[in-house]
Amino acid sequence: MLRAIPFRASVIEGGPDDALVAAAQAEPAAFAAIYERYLPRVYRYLAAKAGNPEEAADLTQAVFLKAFGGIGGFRNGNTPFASWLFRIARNEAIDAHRRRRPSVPWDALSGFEPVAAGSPEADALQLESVRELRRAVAALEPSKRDLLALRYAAGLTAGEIAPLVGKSPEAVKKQLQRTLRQLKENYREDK
Amino acid sequence: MKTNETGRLERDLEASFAVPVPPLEFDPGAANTLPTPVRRARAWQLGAVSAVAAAVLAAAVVVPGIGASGPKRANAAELIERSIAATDALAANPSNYHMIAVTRSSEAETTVESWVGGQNRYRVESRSRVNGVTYLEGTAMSAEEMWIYHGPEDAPVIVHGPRLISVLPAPGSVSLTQHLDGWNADGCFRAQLAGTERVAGREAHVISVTLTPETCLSPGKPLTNATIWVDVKTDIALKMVYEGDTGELFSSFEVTLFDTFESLPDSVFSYAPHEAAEVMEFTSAEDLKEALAPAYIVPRGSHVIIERDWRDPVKNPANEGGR
Repeated sequence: MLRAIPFRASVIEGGPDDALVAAAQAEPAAFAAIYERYLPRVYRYLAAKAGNPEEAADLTQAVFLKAFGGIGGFRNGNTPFASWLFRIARNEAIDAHRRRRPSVPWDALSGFEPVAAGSPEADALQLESVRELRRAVAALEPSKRDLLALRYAAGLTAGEIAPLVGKSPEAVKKQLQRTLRQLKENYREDK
Repeated sequence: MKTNETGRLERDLEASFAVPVPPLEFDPGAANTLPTPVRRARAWQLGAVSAVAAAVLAAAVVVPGIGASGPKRANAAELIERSIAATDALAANPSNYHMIAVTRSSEAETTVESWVGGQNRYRVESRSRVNGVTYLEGTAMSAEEMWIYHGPEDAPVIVHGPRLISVLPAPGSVSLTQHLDGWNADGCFRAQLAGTERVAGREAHVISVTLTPETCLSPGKPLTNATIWVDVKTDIALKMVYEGDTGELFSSFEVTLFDTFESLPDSVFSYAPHEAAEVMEFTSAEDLKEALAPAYIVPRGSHVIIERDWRDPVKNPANEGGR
């Protein structure tokens, strides 16, 4: 059964992660603000990794449960909170891959249609464009797909991605640039 | 400075990932716990189960050739970094090899045999022993034809036809890189070199890894020790053993054969069914889909996916008796 955490929006809701984390460590109910802030990013990241919307929703729940259980141990040293949270998400996705065996349908995202707004014609064009782009992304190596998901689905900065992938922020930026260049070649060729 | 084209691509990427978010509510009651205290129990971020997946993939993506210039001196952490990079590079640019690797956990033992011949030719077979029965899963892709076979080893479902699919992910497409990356940040572990040993006839660095609980922040499973054997020539992990703090084995992965070749003939990437076997031939994607249904689907694009776990007769009663 699902239930919402009783929590009233307060000044910390729009504040930095540090304040949200400190509040959640002091008072479990304050975790709701973290949930509100990160739900779309975590869900979209997992949607990029999962086979269908139901699995993405289940994984999202699992990620926040683990984060809720582990936030008492989080110390905001060199690791941004977003990196910590998305490491949990990444590991959940990895475990899900294992359970789903034997392979992962990156481009089988028929259940995931993007948000579109505008005229029906424009929506149709956008959807087709998105599908083409997804096919191009699907052709990339797994590590590059993951990097794109961390950047554009999870909305992480290079500095937040760096601790997740064990590289410097500069190296992440360069890898992103290289991946975008490769994607551009494959994607625009078809357009 | 970003070009207009790059900016547009980034916007398109954001749009492609911007799927609607369902109205999920968080239920902390499901966690059956309150947030843990600062000094929590020992835990390891890397799960033993997912370690097996990483290991299986390693068997599928490992290709020799990297580091051919010879061994370089490095400490344990640098070796792990290099192993990550080598796995990435090998997955991106496979060459010719034949590998057999075994993964073990408390639940199952799986042997994965892989032949890889460049980007487009491969044959990967896994044999798992579950409840006393050996199950086979295999795909073989040559330039012209493809085979997919799965089921009990003595009576697998076999389909064969022209190569309609350009890319087929290897079994367990979870990257070893992702797991090693997970260790390699935040000082979640302490790694030390522990000499060299031979694995599958190859010289390997031995790396002993222990958890450092004060700094390992993510909640996880009680995995506390690992040993990794990294090939001196290729930087690839040839063997990994994961243990709990009392020495119990969570899982292990070991390469038992690793041969490299200048080239491999197309015949290697074919499957030879026994004489009495029934082979379902297909000529189109629709035929293929029908032949594999309901265990497989062929979605738009290029991947073949097992949609359900046909091994579990409890979940899938229709699978009982060989399917």
